[in-house]
Amino acid sequence: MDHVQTQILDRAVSILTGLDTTGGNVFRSRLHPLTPKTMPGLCIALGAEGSIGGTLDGTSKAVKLLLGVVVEGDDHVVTGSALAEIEAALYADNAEGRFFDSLAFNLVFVSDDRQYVTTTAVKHTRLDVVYRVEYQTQDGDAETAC
Amino acid sequence: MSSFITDIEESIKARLGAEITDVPRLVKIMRKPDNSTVEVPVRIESYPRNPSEQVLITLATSGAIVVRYTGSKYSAKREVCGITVQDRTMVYEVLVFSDSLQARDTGAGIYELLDLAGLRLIGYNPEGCVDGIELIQDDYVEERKGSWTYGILVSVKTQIEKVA
Repeated sequence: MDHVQTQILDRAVSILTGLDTTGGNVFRSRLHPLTPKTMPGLCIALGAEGSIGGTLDGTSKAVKLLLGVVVEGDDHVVTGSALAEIEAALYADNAEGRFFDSLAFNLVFVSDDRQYVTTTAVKHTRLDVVYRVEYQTQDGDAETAC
Repeated sequence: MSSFITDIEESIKARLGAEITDVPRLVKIMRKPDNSTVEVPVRIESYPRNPSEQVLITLATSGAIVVRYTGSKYSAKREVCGITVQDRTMVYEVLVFSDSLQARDTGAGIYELLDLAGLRLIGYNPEGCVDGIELIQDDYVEERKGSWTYGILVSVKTQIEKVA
């Protein structure tokens, strides 16, 4: 069994693979290969994690889910579509108020930021999207969400 | 056997030839010893295999644009999920030959050819490249017996990619 945050990442990759815009160009990484045939593409990774409270024997944690949409050229249209598809897909994976196959008890949109990058061989737009994923584990057992 | 370097070179030559070779005002009318005339368009060629002084003077007499590959620079390697990529910036020298700096009654002057070549190439995206051509600089190269040579350096970006 993996750490719950790894299970959440696995689930995010599964949910976000095959979206209309980014299709199978999904990379479990903060980096994108930056080749034309891997665009539009989606990078999925985890960022910082911290405690957001807990009980005597359990801890509530929040981990950042970092998504990077990479599209060739100076773009607002395709990245905008991808942003909508991502949100729809993430919140659709919801059962009785829990997310990511019931691993997380809350999912919060944090930010998105779009940049046109001209310093690389393939000029591209990168849309960085951050969600906060909140889950709980029993102290001493980081592999089981509760 | 062809190579990617040659393919790009041929593509650059084709691009230049499409609008420069057949422009009437650039065609030089030369008089033969028997007093008949012959029309000599600007030549678009690869760099000669044996660039003797006589060959270069001949190019200048008709007016010519000659293309050769000078080398590449590579970005640092990046590896993402089984894909290894390096960006490659390929540089070509476009040499312009003429026996005149300014345009004459017939035929092109080197200044005009320089400008036309740059305008034809800027932003042009040869097949297999990931971005259009950029002009780096143009510069005087040499003068031999009244034959002038200037050069334009251009770069084009492509990628070397390996999928595991």
